[in-house]
Amino acid sequence: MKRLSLAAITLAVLSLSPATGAQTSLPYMTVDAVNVGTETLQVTGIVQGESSPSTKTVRWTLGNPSDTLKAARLEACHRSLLLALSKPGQYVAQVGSDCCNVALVAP
Amino acid sequence: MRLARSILVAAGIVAAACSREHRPADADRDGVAAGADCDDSDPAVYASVTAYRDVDGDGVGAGSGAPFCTGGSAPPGYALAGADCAPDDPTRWRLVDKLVDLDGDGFTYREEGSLCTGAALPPPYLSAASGNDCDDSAASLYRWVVTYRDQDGDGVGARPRSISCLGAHVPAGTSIAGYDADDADPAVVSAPEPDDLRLLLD
Repeated sequence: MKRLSLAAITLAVLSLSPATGAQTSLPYMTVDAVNVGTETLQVTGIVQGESSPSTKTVRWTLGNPSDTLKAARLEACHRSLLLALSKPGQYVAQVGSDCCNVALVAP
Repeated sequence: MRLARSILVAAGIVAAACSREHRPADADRDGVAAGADCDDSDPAVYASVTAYRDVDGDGVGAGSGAPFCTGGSAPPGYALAGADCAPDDPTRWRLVDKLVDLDGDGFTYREEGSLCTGAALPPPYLSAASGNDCDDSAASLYRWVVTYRDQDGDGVGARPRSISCLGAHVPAGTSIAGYDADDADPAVVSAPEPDDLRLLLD
């Protein structure tokens, strides 16, 4: 129960993508490393359907560099990816140029 | 001369001529003005098109396009579309990605290169990608799955992980979850939520 509540709150907080996002995002089944810059996201992990880990970098296009909301989104993105990193198999992380969120893996 | 013009103006003839609506010339009266008509002497043709030689008559030509003045369609033996991948075969004319499903499980993998085909694809090719079949010789295996050894059988395993070609189920003794804090004790399933999550919830 506790886990479900935490997950529900986590998902509510971490759903950062706009309604039109996720057009070119990738679903990571595992996240092995994360590097969040001011303009880029670099994620190492196993993308769904692939047989080996890879490192991909996407340019973060949501907002402008001086946008405080953008900085907050990047920070939340970083945390969500760390969460996925710490619990492999529990979350799938969706990462794209204008979105970054995690969702519970379907049982 | 001036007197004559004055007479015409007085009679309203010149004024009437100037007020007439200007219409561009259309000598062949096909409804397309001379400037836009590629042949203003023939009412049957008016449009400039680029057409490609269509030897096999499948509606798609090949080779370099040639300009024609037509009624909008390609002349006989030519097609408005080009790039026929099989110019001598009327059953094939288009290139598609090679999405293969040899084992018939509905999941495809992408072969190198392109396939020259017609309207329908020959087996074992499918028109749309579905998944990324990791073993197209076995219908029961079709997806790459990350698994962790689950020694205490509590449903959550621990590292090291492996990436295996599997079907709907994972093998006994393994789990897709890999965060067991103590994989020798079934009472311990998960480590406490990390500090990061607690910060997020504050």
